[in-house]
Amino acid sequence: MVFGQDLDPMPLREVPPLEWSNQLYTYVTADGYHRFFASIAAGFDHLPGDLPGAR
Amino acid sequence: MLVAEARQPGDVLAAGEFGRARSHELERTLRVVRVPFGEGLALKRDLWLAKPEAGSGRTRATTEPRPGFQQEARPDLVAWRTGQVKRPRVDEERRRPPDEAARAANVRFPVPAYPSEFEIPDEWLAGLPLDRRPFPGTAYRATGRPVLVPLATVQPPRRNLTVTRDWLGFDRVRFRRVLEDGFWARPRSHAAA
Repeated sequence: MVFGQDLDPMPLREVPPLEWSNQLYTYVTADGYHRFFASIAAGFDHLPGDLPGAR
Repeated sequence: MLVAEARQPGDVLAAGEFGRARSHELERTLRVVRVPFGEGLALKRDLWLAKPEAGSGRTRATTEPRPGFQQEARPDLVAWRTGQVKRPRVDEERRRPPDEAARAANVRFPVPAYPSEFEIPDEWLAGLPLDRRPFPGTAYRATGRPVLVPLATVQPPRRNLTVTRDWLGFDRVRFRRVLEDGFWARPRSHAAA
């Protein structure tokens, strides 16, 4: 790699669907502030998420 | 007990100017009269049934503005109501950095699926190929076995307003390191070449 090493994925938590509500987001996170907004600045439209139940 | 009410400008009240206005503009021209309990209903019925006649002394409420209550014109609010500018934010002053010229020169990025945008100082992005956009459906290189999720489905993380750091909650070294490490890095197979 040119600069450094791989980054850790975003720690995500899936929000259970709520009935009778316009739920905008499926995942929430409490960490990865720079990774989230740097992804937007870089032009990415996806995020590598670290989901607890996905493994 | 109230006899009659003027609910809107232009209402014709009863003979003898019985009644009460709901606004100051109306009340200025009317006279509030209170009648004993038990007599109001009959009087109100008579007044309701009576038809206005010319020269009978009935009063028509005026719509003249009350002197001394004229509000000063707010050009910013007028422009906002007419749709010329966006609605002024309450915390705009708190978020505004001191250097206005630097703010105007910064790069702004819209947040997907969120009605806001953020900006990064230009010197933070110096030396990075901003014009080279990644392929759709991709994300930065991550360790382990991550799950790719669309960025629009993730709620943007929030930062408390008290945590200002270097720029609106961003840390310069950390933001720069995240961009250099994860985003514009080449794959491992190309690194050795």
